[in-house]
Amino acid sequence: MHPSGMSLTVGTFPVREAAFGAPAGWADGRLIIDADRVAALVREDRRIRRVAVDLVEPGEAARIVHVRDVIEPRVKVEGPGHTYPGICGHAPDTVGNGVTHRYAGFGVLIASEALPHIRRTASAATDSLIDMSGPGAVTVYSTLRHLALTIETLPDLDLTSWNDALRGAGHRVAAALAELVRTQTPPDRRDYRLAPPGGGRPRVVHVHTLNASMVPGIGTGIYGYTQHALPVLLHPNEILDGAIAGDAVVTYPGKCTWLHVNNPVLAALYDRDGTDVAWLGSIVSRTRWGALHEKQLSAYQTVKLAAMLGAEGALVTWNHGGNDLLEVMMTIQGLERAGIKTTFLTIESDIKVVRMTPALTETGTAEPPLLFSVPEADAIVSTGTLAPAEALPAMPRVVGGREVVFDQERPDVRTPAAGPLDLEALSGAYSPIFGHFDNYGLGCQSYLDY
Amino acid sequence: MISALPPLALQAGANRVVQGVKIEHVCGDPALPAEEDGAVRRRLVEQGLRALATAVERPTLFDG
Repeated sequence: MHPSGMSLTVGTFPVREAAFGAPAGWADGRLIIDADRVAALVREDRRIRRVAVDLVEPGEAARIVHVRDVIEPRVKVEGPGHTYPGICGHAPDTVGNGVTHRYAGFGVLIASEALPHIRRTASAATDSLIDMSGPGAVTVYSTLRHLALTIETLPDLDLTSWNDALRGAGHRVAAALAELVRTQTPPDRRDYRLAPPGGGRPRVVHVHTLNASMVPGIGTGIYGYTQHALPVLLHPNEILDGAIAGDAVVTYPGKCTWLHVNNPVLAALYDRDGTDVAWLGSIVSRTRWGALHEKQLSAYQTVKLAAMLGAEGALVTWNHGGNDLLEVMMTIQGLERAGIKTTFLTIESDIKVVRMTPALTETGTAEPPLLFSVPEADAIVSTGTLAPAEALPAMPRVVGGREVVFDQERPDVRTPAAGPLDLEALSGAYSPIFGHFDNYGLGCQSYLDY
Repeated sequence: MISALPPLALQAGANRVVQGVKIEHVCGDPALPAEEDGAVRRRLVEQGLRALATAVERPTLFDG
């Protein structure tokens, strides 16, 4: 089937207000949630001992800690498959056709403190936080209404079971909430279909590089497949139906499930497809291979796929940082050498937490903004720096836990989550703000925002 | 230096760079039987020593 054969209608139900009550349902932007039902759904899994259910709003003097993932409720109303396919027992059927309903401005948030042995197994299972107001509220997650599930599991779960239990609970709740609007008429509806290429419009691909974890079984999955593998071509509609989804372990924000269905790159390319470009689809290639020859192979195969699709231009994105940049840059180099013009959308990855000042927005820090580069990468759009390191004020309300660990190497050093928190003094290389890698430019961390 | 990612080391200005195995285990290969792993380690160290004994004018990769 030609990719342009796929057709998806997304019906959006905006959530402008969320409250606990009964009966559960959505009307005129108001979502009523049955807290007891939500708690019961979470506790269906015997591996879960306790759950607290909270609503948190943008602008509130509130902090959410131990954030593990955020899920946007989406349900397939017509067409094959299940939203977020391949995970949580959902079949791996190809999605992207039919009708999908979703809530906008809302997320089901999973919060759970990493078990001590999980911290040791997965260094990426750091403690993270979202401030809903104040200087730390710079990411898109501070703009959402969250149904926060603070979950305590059995203490002896291994990494895979811990992830399954947390993620399963989040998706059961998200699916049940989305089910509430299955038969309702959405106030907003958009059709997603790729226009047949032609008319002399330049043929472009989205080269959607995605980190794969070096720890097996966790991280960003494609239909639940998390391991390193050679590139695959996805229709953007598959991504809109949740074909790319995260785990409930890694706190690096590029894996966030909410993020991938709300990736502004997809919306921007859809806006221009059929008008001034012909979008051929998203080549998803994995990054963070361990060996140089693996990085090379992945880059070369990505370039080959783009060339075979007849691409003339490529928008290259990545969802991580660090050594992943090698294969990303080698991909850009290969694309340019194959005559495919590239633009790279990226964070400036000076890795330290830096207190941003107006002067620094002009000059940057002493660190290179990109760990590695090639001369061919000559069209780069910056989404900003990794994170602000403003001292975060004390917050009267804290959800998700009471204490946070800023240094994985010293798990016994615990800081009261209510703050104040001087991130520059407390945190190591990475900011604990969930979403601080703003790879797609959804937050307020760019030059223009300062 | 022995690096899993020589392009990065060379761009950062390391004078002498030896190609290591991979990020997870730069100076050996636990997937190999002990004897062969030992041979990999010995080769890397010997390459490193050869590199040290070689005059260079710019960041140089020793992968022979």
